[in-house]
This record gives sequence, C-alpha cells and structure tokens, in this order.
Amino acid sequence: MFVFYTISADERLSKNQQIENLLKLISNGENTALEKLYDLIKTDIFSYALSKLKNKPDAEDIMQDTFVNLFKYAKQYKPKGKPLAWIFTIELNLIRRHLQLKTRNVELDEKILNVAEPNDILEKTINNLFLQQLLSNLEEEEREIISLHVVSGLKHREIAKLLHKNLSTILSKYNRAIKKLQLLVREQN
Amino acid sequence: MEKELKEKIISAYQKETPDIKQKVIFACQQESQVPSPIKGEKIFFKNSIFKMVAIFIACILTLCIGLGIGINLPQNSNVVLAEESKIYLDVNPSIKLSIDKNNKIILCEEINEDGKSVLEDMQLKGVDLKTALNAIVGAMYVKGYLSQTDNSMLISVETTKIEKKEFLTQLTKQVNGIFENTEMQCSIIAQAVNETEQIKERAKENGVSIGKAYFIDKITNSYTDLTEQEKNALFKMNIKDLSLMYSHGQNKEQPPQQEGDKPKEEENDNEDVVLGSPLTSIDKEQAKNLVLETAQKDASLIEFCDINVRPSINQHTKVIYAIKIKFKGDENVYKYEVDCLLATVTLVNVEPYHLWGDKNPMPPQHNDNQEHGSPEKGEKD
Repeated sequence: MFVFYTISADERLSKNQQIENLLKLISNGENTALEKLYDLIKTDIFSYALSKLKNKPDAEDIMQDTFVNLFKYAKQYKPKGKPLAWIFTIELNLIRRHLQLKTRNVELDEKILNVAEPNDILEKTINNLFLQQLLSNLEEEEREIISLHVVSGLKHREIAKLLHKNLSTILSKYNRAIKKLQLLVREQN
Repeated sequence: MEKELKEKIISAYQKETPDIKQKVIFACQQESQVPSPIKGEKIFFKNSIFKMVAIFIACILTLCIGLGIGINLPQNSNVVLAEESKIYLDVNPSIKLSIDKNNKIILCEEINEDGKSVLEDMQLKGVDLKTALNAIVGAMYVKGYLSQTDNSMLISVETTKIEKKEFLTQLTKQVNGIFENTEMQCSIIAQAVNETEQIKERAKENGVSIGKAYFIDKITNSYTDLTEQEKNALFKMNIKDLSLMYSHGQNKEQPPQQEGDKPKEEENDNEDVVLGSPLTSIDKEQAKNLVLETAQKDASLIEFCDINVRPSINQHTKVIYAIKIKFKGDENVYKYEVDCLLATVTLVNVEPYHLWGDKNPMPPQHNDNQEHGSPEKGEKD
C-alpha cells in the first residue's frame, strides 16, 4: 500500500503565512524575525543549494548569502501567498552567479552543470550516506525537484514555473527520481 | 514506502543542514551598516530590457537638466545672486552674513579676531540661514563667548525686505529658540540698520561691525550729555552693557516707578529695534537705596541727588548709575558709581560742595530733589 506523504495544504499555508509575516517584520527592522525565519526555512535553503551544487561548503555560502539577501530585500517582497517561490528565485540567482564565477565566466551548459562531483569529495563533505548516494545517483534536475517538493513542499506546478519547465517534465522527472531512490533504499536494506 | 522515503530524505537533509545562524545574523548586521547600493546585486534587473529602459530614462533626465526644462534648478555657485540682506551678529565676536532672497548664505565673514575664532573652518555658503545661525551661535556658546554672565547678542539687519520688523522678530525668536535649550537667560537685540558712510567710517575706526556702530549711534543720540570720552567708551562695551544703555536711554523720560508698581517692561519707541528678552538690571531707586546703605544715611537727609546712566570710563565694560549726592549738614558732594547689573557700589569722588557748585550748574530737578529739597542758589557756599 502506498501512502503518499505530503505536507498538507493547511500546514503549507501556515508555513507560507509565517514566512510572509516574518518578511514583513524583517522589513520593519525586527531583528528577531530574521532568527525565526532562519529556523523555519534553513533546511529548505540548504537542501536546494546542495542539490544544485553537490558541495557542502559552497551550499553553506549560498545559504548565508540567501539569508543576507532576504534581509536586504525583504521590503521588496509583495505578499502573494508564495514567499518560498520568491526566496528560491533569489537563491537560484545566487547559485547561477556562483557557478559563473567558479567557471570563470565561461558560459555554462546544462550538461556541464549536470556533471557530478567526484564521489570522494561528497564523502568528505556529506556525512549522511543516504544523502551522498542521493546526490550521486540523481541528475541535477531530479535533485532539484526532490528538494523543492519533498523538503520544501512546493507543488509541481510551482516548481515548473520556478524552473521554467513544463509540468509534465517536472512530474516525469520527479517520478523517475523517486523510483531511483526507492531502488537505492531497497539495495541498502 | 514513499512516505518513509520522503521522511528519510527530509531527515537526511535536516541532519546535514549546518548551523550558521550566528554567521547569518552577523552578516546581516554588517549589511545593514553598509550604505546602499550594494555592489553586484542585480536580482531584479536580469532582463536587459530593464537596463535599456533605465538608460533611456536617465538620458532623457540628463537632457532635461541640461536644458533646464521643467525643473527648478539649484543656483549655480558661480552665478552671483542678488544680495537681499546683510546680517551682523555681535556678541564679542562680530560676524557678517549676506543672504539671498531665499535666506541662503551667500557670504559669511568675520569682522574681528573673535569672530574668526568662531567661524574657524565653517563652510556656510549655500546653507540655510536658520542652520547657519544655529551653527554660529552654538560655536559662540561652546567657545565661551556666550555664557550666563555674558549673554547678550546684537543682531543687525540691512534688508530690502518690506516687513523689516517681522523679519527681525523671526530672527530673534530663532536665536532665542537656541538658547531655550541651555541654562542661559539671554538678551537679544535685533535692529534694522541703514549703512551710511558715517556709520561705516565709525565702524572701521573703532574696529566694530556696522551693526554695533549703528547701535552705539542710537545710544549716543538718546544721551545728549555724553562726553567724548564716554562716547568712546561705548565702543569698548559688550552688547549686554550697550543694551542696558539703550534701554535706559529709551526710558529716560518715563516717570520713576512708585512703590508697589510692577516692574515696567522695556518700552521701545523705535520700531526698528526689537528687544528679544527682558534685561535684568536694578532701577534708579534701587541704586539710590544702595548708596544710602553704603553711606549709612537716611533718605530724609538727602539734600539733592542726581542719577544718570553712564558708560563707565573707569571700567569700560560696565554700565553704571552715576550718582551725585549731597546730604544735609555735610559740605561734600559724593559721587558714586553703581553697577547696573551687579549692584556694586563704588565711591568715586568726594568734592567740597562749594567747589563742585562752581564747576557744575544746578543739578536738574528730579522728583527726588523736589521730595527732599534742593539747595537754592543763594544758600550755596
């Protein structure tokens, strides 16, 4: 029997509302709101950066930069009920800039981005074996979708809009990713 | 199965998430101290069209500014503005300000060394008059030129403004407002001046501002019997003492206060002078009583008493009541000087009445003299 675990609409609405309220407080100069926001979405931010970069130190840097940018641009956020999409847009831009700098302004191809980090590096930086395997075995877009949907609770439609992809592509890649991971877990067991 | 998988994924990421909260908070604190714009952040200008539109608008604005279209241009500092008013500030430091019709400073210069000390490195050109006054008066206070004991300021204005008195009142209120924040009680005199050649010359000769020279001229005119020495002494006086001279000169023709009367407010017949705050000096009656106390004589013994406000030629910074008094049964005329502000009594001279009477005409008939009797000519000896 398959039990689909999803973050309930109520819970996700609550989280989005919380984030919006905290962004408003940050824009009003409330420093404690930043700490609360950090606690609320730190895993969302880190997981997305890690899924894109497969490098923990780099993901940490992106995570820090993302929060600093949220702090800076909180006033510019217009409440539309989807603060996570806005936050991930900021983060994606930071990641792209990071990668551009890393490859010294060479125009990046999706294929280049999909080249996996050597496994020894992952082993050194990622403690969790399962996570190492997840990052090693999934393609970049698959890792992205898993992070955005499973960890952050974004709907597939929202992910499609964020990544400028078709919904069907997103759904297809998501299902493929889940199957890969299920196989992985079975092999471990 | 999928639920467990998802929980496993979430758990894995959660455990791997570093705790960099303090780093983030610190970075945000640093960020908040950095003035915007922050370099390199172009999150909302990804689209090149945005850039082109922004550049286009910037070009249009530049063109408009260049042609001066529809924009109220600030005055070019190289353009000579119509000078509308000159303002002279006198305490001990003397400072001259020239302002345009918008009350912006065109020129600010010191007239004496103390004024130079106050202005130091101040760059007041283009600054609003109110701001400039705050800076100058503040500097005077900080440097000790204004204090609780030396608390008078003369503000003189030569202006084309029609409502001179209103302008003077505004200036007085403005400067009074600065003093309200201190423990000082200050006396501000504001006057409208006409720069004549005579005034300019007198100012230059005595090393004072045109405003101070003009004020002294007014004082001189209200005291018809000042000697040359006394007139010269006026130029060495500070504003506090000059204002006392002025106010006493204005009140000369007033009847003396009766017992029980409330203290009179300073009455000013000259519309061009605004007195910003009341002066605190003893009146003639009080001065006389101090002399009686010093001489240990009763008022009933006064044969005659002559009281005049004078600038002291002995001590240039003082305004005094010069009191000449003779007592019944005493052959001498005593000359006292009573400090108007400090109420100190100094015996200056004692002269036999017969010698004094030869040199001096009959003293003017005061109410005091009428009350206590004045000597007849035939009775002099």
